[in-house]
Amino acid sequence: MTEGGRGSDFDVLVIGGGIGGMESSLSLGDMGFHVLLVEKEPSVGGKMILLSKVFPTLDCASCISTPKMAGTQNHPNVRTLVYSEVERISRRPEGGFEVVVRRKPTYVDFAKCTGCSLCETACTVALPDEFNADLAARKAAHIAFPQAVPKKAVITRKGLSPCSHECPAGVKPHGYISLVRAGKYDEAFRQHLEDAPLVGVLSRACYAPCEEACTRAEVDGTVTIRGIKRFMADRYYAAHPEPEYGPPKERTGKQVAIVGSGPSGLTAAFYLGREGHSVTIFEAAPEPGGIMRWGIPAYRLPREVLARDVMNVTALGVEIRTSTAVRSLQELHGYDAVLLAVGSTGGRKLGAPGEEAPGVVDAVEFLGGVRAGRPMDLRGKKVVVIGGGNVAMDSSRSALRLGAAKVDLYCLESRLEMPAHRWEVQEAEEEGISIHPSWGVGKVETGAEGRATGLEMVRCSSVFDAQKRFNPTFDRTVSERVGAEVILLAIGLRPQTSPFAKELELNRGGSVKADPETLQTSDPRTFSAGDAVMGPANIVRSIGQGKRAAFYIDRFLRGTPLQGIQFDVRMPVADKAAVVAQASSRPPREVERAPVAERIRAFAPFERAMTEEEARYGATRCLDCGGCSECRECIAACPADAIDLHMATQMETYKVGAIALATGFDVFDAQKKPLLGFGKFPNVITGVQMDRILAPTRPYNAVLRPSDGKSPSNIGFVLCTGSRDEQVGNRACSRVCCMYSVKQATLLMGALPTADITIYYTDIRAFGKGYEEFFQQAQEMGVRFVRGKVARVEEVDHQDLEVHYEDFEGNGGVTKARHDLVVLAVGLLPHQLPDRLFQGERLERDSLNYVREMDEELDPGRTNIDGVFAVGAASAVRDIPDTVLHSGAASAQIAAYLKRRAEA
Amino acid sequence: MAAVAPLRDLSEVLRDGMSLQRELLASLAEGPKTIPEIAEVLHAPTREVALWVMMLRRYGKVADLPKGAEEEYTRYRRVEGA
Repeated sequence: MTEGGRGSDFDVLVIGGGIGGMESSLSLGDMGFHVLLVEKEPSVGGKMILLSKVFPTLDCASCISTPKMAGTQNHPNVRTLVYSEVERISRRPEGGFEVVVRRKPTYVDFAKCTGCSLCETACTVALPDEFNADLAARKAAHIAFPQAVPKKAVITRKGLSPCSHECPAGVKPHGYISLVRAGKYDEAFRQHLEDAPLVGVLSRACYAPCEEACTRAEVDGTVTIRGIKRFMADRYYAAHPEPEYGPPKERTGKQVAIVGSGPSGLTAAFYLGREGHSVTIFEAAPEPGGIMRWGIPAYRLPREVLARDVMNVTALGVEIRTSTAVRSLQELHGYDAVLLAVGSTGGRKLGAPGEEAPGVVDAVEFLGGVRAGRPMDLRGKKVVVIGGGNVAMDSSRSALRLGAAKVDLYCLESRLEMPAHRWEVQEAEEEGISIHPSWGVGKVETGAEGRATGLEMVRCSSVFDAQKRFNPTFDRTVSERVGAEVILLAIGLRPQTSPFAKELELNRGGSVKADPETLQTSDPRTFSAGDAVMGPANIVRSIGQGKRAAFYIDRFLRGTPLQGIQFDVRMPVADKAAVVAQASSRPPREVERAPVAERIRAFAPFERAMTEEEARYGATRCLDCGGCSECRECIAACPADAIDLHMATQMETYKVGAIALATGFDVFDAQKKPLLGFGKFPNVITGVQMDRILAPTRPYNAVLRPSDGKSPSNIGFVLCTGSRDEQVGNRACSRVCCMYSVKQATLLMGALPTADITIYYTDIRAFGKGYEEFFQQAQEMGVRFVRGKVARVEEVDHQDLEVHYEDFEGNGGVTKARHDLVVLAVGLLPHQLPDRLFQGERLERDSLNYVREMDEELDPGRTNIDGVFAVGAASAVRDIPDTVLHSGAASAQIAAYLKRRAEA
Repeated sequence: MAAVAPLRDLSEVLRDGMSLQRELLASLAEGPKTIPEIAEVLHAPTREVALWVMMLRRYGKVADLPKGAEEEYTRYRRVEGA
């Protein structure tokens, strides 16, 4: 039956899958109406399924709820959307409503998930378990609770963690940090390997943008991500001198040529090799690695670390032909695709008089000589380095290690504008390099033999123009002469693309013109990545480019379109402010470094690797900003291949005839009564928590107190917490607190037969069928009822609690009593519906902010909006029997409404 | 009344729990222990140890032993293979 009006998808939309929503859905479904039930949590069942038992019958809440839950999920006329929220509702001109539903990504394919929980067990991120009222932990990958319907896992993702969001290579630091924290070091390495093969290189020579983005930096200092990476990489390589894998068995038969074995070339080879393509890298130098091999000093990147990283690539069957320069794409005509990843190793010229003089040396050639074992003899010499970038820093520091008597560094930029990383500048100065910012070279001075003897430096007034383009200006009235025996020029690099200038379109600076998304060049079978496209960049960005190129080359080789698909789509970054609030101070521990006097004597790495204890301490400082860390342990564990971390929010639109608001109630936040100690003393808990402790699916093995796992022997209940209390803005009686406390006291008498149970109350409201008898039964069992108003709760020794109260009976006056567990019977509050849920119509509320029923006695459930009905606790505080009753009445109203509309 | 140390944020405590799993399980290698006994070995607050023990129990790495009516504390043991 579809009575909802012409073109309606469903007769009724029910918002909320608690007992009220399920009851309405089932009764309307049984009548033949088509129902769309939208529930925001991953399971239907609402709050009732989380209760221990129901009063006054003490029937098991799960036993009553689960048939309703399964019935709702499987009813032929009810379609249930869990983990979904109604975004907005608008009235259709032809009648009924149009509803937009936001389907939140579960990151688990429900069609495949079997509810086995293996993902939960493997998950490395623990979060407070909201379904156990924060009494226990759950994992980021989790099934809401054991009786969940549907029993499917979802993964909590609050956005991408800032570290992972920031990495240009798409490495997920949060993932491997969480694995190191859990002691899963090899898994941590393998997780990184999935994202980038040059793990060792990045652990030593990355500038670590992840650390700059780290939320912890706003608390007490960034997580030392690169140091932790070095720990895991060093440890893994020590245990695995060779990769654990070989070439893939399935081959595509496609051949790819890569020109250049720098970071982007090696990375692209790794991903293309894994896909089964035959990859050959052509490298002009005698050893692979490009700038990593020849440009970065050994004290930052030892040769053996790079060599082991290269093995990650060659193990896949990738061939590297060294000392083989490619001078034309024609030489590669037999290959199905080509990647030009030639890097930028050519140094720029000063354009100043005298720069061709002997003694003026290109810094890249200088560094390459050092790495090749042919260092310049700088012993006792005065060296001047020109440039303010990282190559200048590396050159200066290398010169010092080669025995230079003095090293001065001059650069155009002011100190704040210097392109070198801040820590590189700091380390250079620590080692004794003199840095002179805001100077340009006027000319190179030469001696009688034509050798360089010094420089005339002129004051640089500005480096960039108003458009932020490089356009230095000088104040030539300010100059100084600098003596120098060796001058190292580190003023920028040029991409080595000139051999291909006639075959490919190049940009003005010499970089290859390529599609910014696909990296495809003007020659369709040729792609380009790294410095060849970007100009001088850095290792981690080049790795990102290599991955991107591999993605699109693979599509090209398989004949799939390159356009219309995006590589590396990232979810929004997680909210830092929310995370910062969760952190107490835990400062970073500095990693030990060799003293300066020792470190400048040789090219050995001067930063000691972290110990296991230091790495794990560092990892515990991670704040799990995004929830899920993307460690991929769930993916590895899932036997059904159901995990899909690429899922995104979906917006769906439905047309419905009527709407049932079964949005339930909210629970009072006991921290708003600070004198009662909730959130301050571990043994002050809420009634909701006590119900979880008593439930069959409880968080503990028995009734225990949270502070130390002791069985409580003297429990006090404080009624009316947040109800009938003008101070907290809720003057209403919550109707259920008296009875649920009596229920819990009764159950505790069974679970802890020797325990003393006291209920502090102002008056007991036992108004429903069987309630008075239930109250009397509790008294007969020995539950002590004290009529009095509790003023405050304080913690005393052994984490016991002292309840201070005004005794309304007995001796009267202010008195106190000691308990080892106190339960605050928190009240119920109206659920806050979004104000803009209904477009163009305003849903009326009553004086307590519940949805107003226009005529409770004669027309239950009808609201001021025609076609919209309130169900159960949406319109008033109701216990379970009353909610079920009200749901039936509202369903009848909805059915009548739909019939009238259909007949009109 | 002695000053009460503020409770650490729950999320932070649980993060530490992920890190201390091995040490906690190792503390049970010599035999079952109560939460205060484990806390003494780990030099950690009992409230935090309680959370960690319950997490390990939930994921099948720790199990509880039957408790006598006169005993105040449950003892927990390491599950074989955990």
